[in-house]
Amino acid sequence: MSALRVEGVTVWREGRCLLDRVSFAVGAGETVGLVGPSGAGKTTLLRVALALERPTEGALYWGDQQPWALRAAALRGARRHVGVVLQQPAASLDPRRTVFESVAEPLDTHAGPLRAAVRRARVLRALDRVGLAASLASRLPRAVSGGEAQRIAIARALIVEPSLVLMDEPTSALDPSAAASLLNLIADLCGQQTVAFLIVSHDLAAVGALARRLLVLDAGRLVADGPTDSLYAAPPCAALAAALAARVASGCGVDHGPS
Amino acid sequence: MQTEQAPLTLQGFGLRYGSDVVLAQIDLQVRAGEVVALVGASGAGKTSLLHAVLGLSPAGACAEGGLWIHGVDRAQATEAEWARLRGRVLGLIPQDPLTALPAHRRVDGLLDEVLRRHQPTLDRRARRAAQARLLQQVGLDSALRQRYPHALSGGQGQRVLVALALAGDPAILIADEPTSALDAVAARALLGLLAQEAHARGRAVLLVSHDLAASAAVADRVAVLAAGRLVEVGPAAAVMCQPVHPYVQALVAARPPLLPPRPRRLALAPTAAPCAQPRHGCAFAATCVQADGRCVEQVPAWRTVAGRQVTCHHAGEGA
Repeated sequence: MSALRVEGVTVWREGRCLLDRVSFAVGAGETVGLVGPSGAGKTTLLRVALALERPTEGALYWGDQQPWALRAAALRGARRHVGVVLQQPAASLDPRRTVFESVAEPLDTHAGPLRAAVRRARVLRALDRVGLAASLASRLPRAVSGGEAQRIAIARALIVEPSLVLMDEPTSALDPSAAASLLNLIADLCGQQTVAFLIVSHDLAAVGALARRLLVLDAGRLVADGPTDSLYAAPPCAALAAALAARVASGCGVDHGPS
Repeated sequence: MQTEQAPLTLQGFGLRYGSDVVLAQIDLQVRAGEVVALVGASGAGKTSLLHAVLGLSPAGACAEGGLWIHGVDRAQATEAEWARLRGRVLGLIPQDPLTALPAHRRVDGLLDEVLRRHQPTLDRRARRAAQARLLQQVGLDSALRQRYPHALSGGQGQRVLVALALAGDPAILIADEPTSALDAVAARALLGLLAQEAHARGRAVLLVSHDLAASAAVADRVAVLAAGRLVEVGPAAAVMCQPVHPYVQALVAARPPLLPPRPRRLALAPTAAPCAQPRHGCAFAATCVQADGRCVEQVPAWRTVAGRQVTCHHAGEGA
């Protein structure tokens, strides 16, 4: 069964069609990349997949559940299955809470009251899973780096053991070294195939490093869905070709553009 | 020498916040008609350098060494002089249009305000004409002048910021991560616009970025900053394609390749020791794989290796 299935999703807002009959599925444990130019509808699609925005038409499935068919309380419970990591690491953490409290929050929401020792152990295990030391737990967000903040966001998403995690530009706010380190971590998590990942990014190389399968969105339509490497080698749509061309122009041997 | 000087010249420039040294021994010139990319990781001192160049270092910051803006010595510049330089000599393009543009002002109102301030002799009609010219110069449809910032795309907002920076016709244009909010195609177009301002209109452009590949694509020269010091300065293609400083080599290798073969793990650039105290040795002595006794004991001096300036005892040895 797929972790996420989107069927014929169409979104109209203020007289504009933001998504036009978009259909795809992300299998259990599968990692899929989603790319497209600004304004293509990537963020809207993420909001639909998170059940934060109800599509004008079409259906959304998390596993075998249809979030929009659930009552409000049941929908809140079902949200445990879908985690999210946002673009701006600093802005996605509550500045007044320690790292420990931020990571524990989803646990409190979805796993009910836990014994303090169990709660603490699970938070520390989640931090360890993303390569963060327990000593970081008592810090406030202003005292962590961008790369650490992004790891905290991932720990927050993973702590309730979701079946799917959506990532919106996870590395775009980081410098190359921090980004590389985070990509290594995400690649490890993807490789475990216990959680499905949908990774949205402008950075074609970052998506290529993580996802074997790629979705290309342009002007609200899904214009390509296939193996990342073959789409990069022979882009079947103008949007991807333009993005590749913009990138490749910077290259010497390092950037490995399509040959 | 003053008359021959590049519009933006730093010579042995340093900056301290209390006892924290944030910049040391910066030698850098940005000449008229060239784009210089200043590249570095978070915390390297890019923003401190940018603030110093704009005369906006926080109170308590202590500068040393030479900094000349269009021949004006920072050591002698009064606050009034800085105010004159900002806008008319120094144009700043900030990072994010959504935070840099006031949400309640239309594009035409913003442009008009900047034109009134920097070109006070213009009357209303001339300012309207200047607005149209500026929008055209940055490749924006003049109908956009009636929009509020929220109704602009990221690329359009960034171009409005460029138009605002150009309104005072500055000799020096400074762009602070101008493409980090843009997709690849829009980013490429914006960088092309900056290059055009340098090459066609003779401005000195300093492009501050953490994206080595993107900035190298349009820059004439690249200067890599690590822990408050420049480590490699040279022609963009040389620095990007054949870096000689181990840190820059690692930065280049940290970018994932677009197509296979892909490394199993991306290499990570070594971390530089912060230049907090007067230091012996190289900032990378503790983390660099090539480090030896000399690296621990002697601060590497500038050397010329393969056509660029570099501070590494071992640079060029393997070549």
